Formats: sequence, structure tokens, C-alpha cells
Amino acid sequence: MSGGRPGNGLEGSRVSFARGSRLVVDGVDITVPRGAVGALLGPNGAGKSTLLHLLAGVERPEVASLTLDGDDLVSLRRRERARRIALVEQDAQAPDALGVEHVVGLGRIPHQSAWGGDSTRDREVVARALEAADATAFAGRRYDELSGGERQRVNLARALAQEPELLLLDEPTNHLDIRAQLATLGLLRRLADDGLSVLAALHDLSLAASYADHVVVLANGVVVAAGDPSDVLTPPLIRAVWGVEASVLRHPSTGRPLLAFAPADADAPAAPEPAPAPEPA
Amino acid sequence: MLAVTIGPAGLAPGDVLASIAAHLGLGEPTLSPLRDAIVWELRMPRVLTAAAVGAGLAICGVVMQALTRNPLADPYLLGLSSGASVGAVIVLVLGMAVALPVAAFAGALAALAATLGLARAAGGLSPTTTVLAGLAVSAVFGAVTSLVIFWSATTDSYREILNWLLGSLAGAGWPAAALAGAAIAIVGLPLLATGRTLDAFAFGDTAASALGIHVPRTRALLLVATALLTGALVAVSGAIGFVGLVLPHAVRLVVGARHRALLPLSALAGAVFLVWVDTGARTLFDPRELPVGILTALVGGPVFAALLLRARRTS
Repeated sequence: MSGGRPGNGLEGSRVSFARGSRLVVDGVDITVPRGAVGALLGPNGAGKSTLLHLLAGVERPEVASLTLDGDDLVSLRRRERARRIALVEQDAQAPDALGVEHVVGLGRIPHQSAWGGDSTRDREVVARALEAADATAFAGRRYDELSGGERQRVNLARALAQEPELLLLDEPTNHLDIRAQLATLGLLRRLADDGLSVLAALHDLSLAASYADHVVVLANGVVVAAGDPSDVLTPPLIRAVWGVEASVLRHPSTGRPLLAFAPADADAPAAPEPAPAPEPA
Repeated sequence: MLAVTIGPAGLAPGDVLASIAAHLGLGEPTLSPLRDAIVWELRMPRVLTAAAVGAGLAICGVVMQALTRNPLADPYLLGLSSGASVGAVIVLVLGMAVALPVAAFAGALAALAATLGLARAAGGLSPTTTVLAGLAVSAVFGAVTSLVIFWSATTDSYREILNWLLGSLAGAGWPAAALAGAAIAIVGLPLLATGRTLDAFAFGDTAASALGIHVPRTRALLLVATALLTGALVAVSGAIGFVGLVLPHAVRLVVGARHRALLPLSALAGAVFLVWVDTGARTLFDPRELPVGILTALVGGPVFAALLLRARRTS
């Protein structure tokens, strides 16, 4: 969906955000190269959603620098930013009776003027976004009648209708059955292969390891590790961040890391709690 | 315009057209001066005022429902109309009729701030909390309106209280039509261009923001605009209820939730609706006149109940 603009994707340096006196995101360095899938990992309350909101421009961070393909994002106008970065929220709540095409058409808002209607190009982009998100089959239905997996594809199509260079997703596999989870992540992989930069907050470490080019692990607003999934997802790191015991296996056919968790042993000393804080709304 | 012909003094459509044409300089006066005056001085301005008030209230309803993501939002239910009435009544009692729209606007704004502030303090802007807060604010402002009128104790204060609390277009002459028309032109028409922006709020503030909308500024600006419009309309008609609630929902059932279609069509439907309801109000109990708000409440109350049931089911 992105035009072949040269550049390095998203590059953020020392991104911080305070809510009240608490630093929710504390000096995070993050890169998502063009055409790559990045996975944002970490326990609940680690600051994943907040970081995605900051990158999407929903809230304004303190930064040393934040660029997309070399352009400063902090000084970019809101509309311009919305044409280059799209956000798929977690658990999007829609009012009754919105048609799927209407929902996807919302993605055209940053491209439209107040008085004008939908242009031919708007309609083309919506049709292409539905196609790319594998949602054309239910384009004529109502959003509130769709299953969770179908809704997520419509949300994705709405984001693609913005024609972004960077796609941010907050737990896109939440509440989906395994088939829909794989379909969603496979779709993100294909979009990235076509040149879109993708950053998704995920909870399933094995799925993240099998679809992401690199992972960023966040705990208490701080990046504790980042890099290739095989290098980052080690038993000591998982113990330190999530407080659970894990074995790292290899997927028999892909060779990607595959995590197996040991059942909690009632007699063993409790693992250190990583001080979970409520995920900001 | 057919509504102009309906009333105690029988007039044919031809008579009405002749009178209008004569006043626009398009023909010779053919009616007796009395009948001509009934058309031009009484019924025309009243019908035009009804149309403007109906359109404006419907626009306010659409905008407020979208911005607060609350299907029950409406200038009347959230207390704006009562607040505007207080402002209007106070300046009328003080004999400063010039300040009427300004005072009504200030009252509407104060009521809006009170309702949203109260709802937020009571645990968030859910539809139910907001409507309850609006009820509390309406009750207080309604009482203040009654008190001010009663205290000023002119001859017919009960009737006047009723007109302000229930809304009435009796006595709407050309000045009222001009004020309501100006409010529609200055505030209502620009609001019709906000359809795309209102669409962006469908999935909430975060989604709107990610679509490039400056959420706090947009919401503040548009809510102040609805307060301004409500203020001007209430200044001429009193607090007519439920137009802003019922019409947008009825139109939404037909054309869907796209605000670019919903806004102008709700405005049109609101105008037509209020013209006809007002025609009913002045003819049903001839020679006595009903405050038009009684009829709109009669229609709107049940619709409100139905929406309440549906909101409960989906939440």
C-alpha cells in the first residue's frame, strides 16, 4: 500500500511519556525498518499500548528524535501524520449499524476535505484495502454482525485505507481463535513483504517469534531487550520479565524459537512478580 | 408552505402565494389587508421560525450524539435548552432584550459544562450517567426559570412559564424568524460541513486522533457551536424537547450513519417535522393553542424510551 519512498522506516530515540508523575514510557529507543514486522512484547502494563499511541500521534511524547523515513514526526501536522501512520486499536468499539464499507471508508478521512464526497480514488483505495485485508467477502455486511476475526480484518482494511507507510497494531490477535490469529499475522507478514512497516504489540511469544523479524521487549516502560527473536527470547529474559519458567525449543520445520512453559510448581519458590500495573485505557 | 394555509382563518394556497408574491414585489396585492396580514405578519414568520428551530435542534442532536458517542444526547436532555431558557428569561425580566441571544448562549454553555462536569465526576460519560446529569441540571435550571418569571410577577406568569419550559412558537414574528435564520446561517450551515469529522469519532477518541483529528479542540469547538445554536433557538422558542433526539434517529434508520448524509437530511426532517407539529399545536385545540413542546414530547417520550431499552440491551 505504500509508495516506494526511500527511507529507513521508523526510528525513535529516547521516547518518553509521563502520566501524572509516573513515567509510563521511559527513554525507549525503537526502530522498525521499512518492510519489516516488529513485535512489541511485554507483560500487561509494560507500556506497549501507550508506546503505540505515542507513535500514532494520539498523545505527544518527549523525544530526542522520532522520524519516519527521515521526516520528523513531532512537527508533522496531524492530518499528514494520519496519511503515513495507521493504528489498529485493541477491542475497537463500534456503534450499531455501521456498514463494513463505511467503516473502511473512515480510513480515507485524512485524505478528504470537509465538503467533498468520496472520490473515485477513495472508492478504489477502499476496495483495494478490503482486498488486501481479505475482507471483500463481507464488504456488504454490518460491522456489528461480524465475528471477531472478520472484524479484525475490517479494522485492518480501515487502517490500510489510510495508505500508511507504518502500520501499528495493539494486540491484533486478541480474542481470536488460532486460525484467525494465524491468518491475521500471515496477512501482516505479506503486507510487510510488500513494503509496509509493521509494529504489533503481541502477547503470544511463540507466534511473535515465528512472524516477526525482530522483537522489542518492554517492561515498566523500559526496553529490556531488542533484536532477532532467537537472540532475545531466552529463558533468563522470560523469567526476568514475565516471571515464568520457559524452555526454548525449535520449530521442527521453520527453526524459529518455540516456547514451552513449565506448569507453576506449588512447592517451588515463587518467581519474582514483575510488578504489573493496569494497562492504561 | 402549505402549513401557512392551515389555521383558524381559512386561506387558500392561492391566497398565500399571492400575498408572498406581493411582498416580494412580484405582483399586485389581491387580498384584503387583514387576510394579507394573517399570511405575512403571523403565519409566514411562524412557519419559517419553526423550520429554522426544527433544523437547528436536529443538527445539534446529530453533532452531540456523535461527539459524546451517546445515542441519547440532545440539547434538551442534556440540559442546554433549560440553561438557555434561564439566560433568556433573566435578560427579558431585566428588560435587556438586545442581549437575549448572548444570554441564552451563556446559559446553554453553563448548562452543558455543568452536565458534562457532573457526569464525569459521577464516573464517566456513559449514556445513562450523562442523561441523569442532564436531568439534574435541567431540573435546577427549569426551577430557576420558573422562579424568575414568577418573581417578576407580570399578569400571566403561568402561561409564560409554560411557554419557556415546554417551548412554544406562539408570537414568533419576523424578529424571531430573523434570529433563528441567522443562527442557522452562521452556525448551522458550517456544522453541516463537519460530517467527515463526526464520522471519525465513530470508534472513539483514540481512533479519531489516529485519523488526524485534534480531538480536544474539535470537541470543544463543536460543543460550543451547539450551545450557541441552541441558545439562539431557545431564545425564540423556549425549550422544545426531543426534536434533536428523535429526528436524527429516524433519519439514521433510513440513510445509515454516514454523517455527510445524516446532517443535512436530519436538518431537513427537523424543519418539516417542527413546521407540521407546530401547525398541529395551533389548530388542534382551536381557538386555544398548545405549547408545541407538549406535542414534541408526546412523540419524543416513547422514542426516548425505546432508545433507552436498546441502549441497555447493547451495553
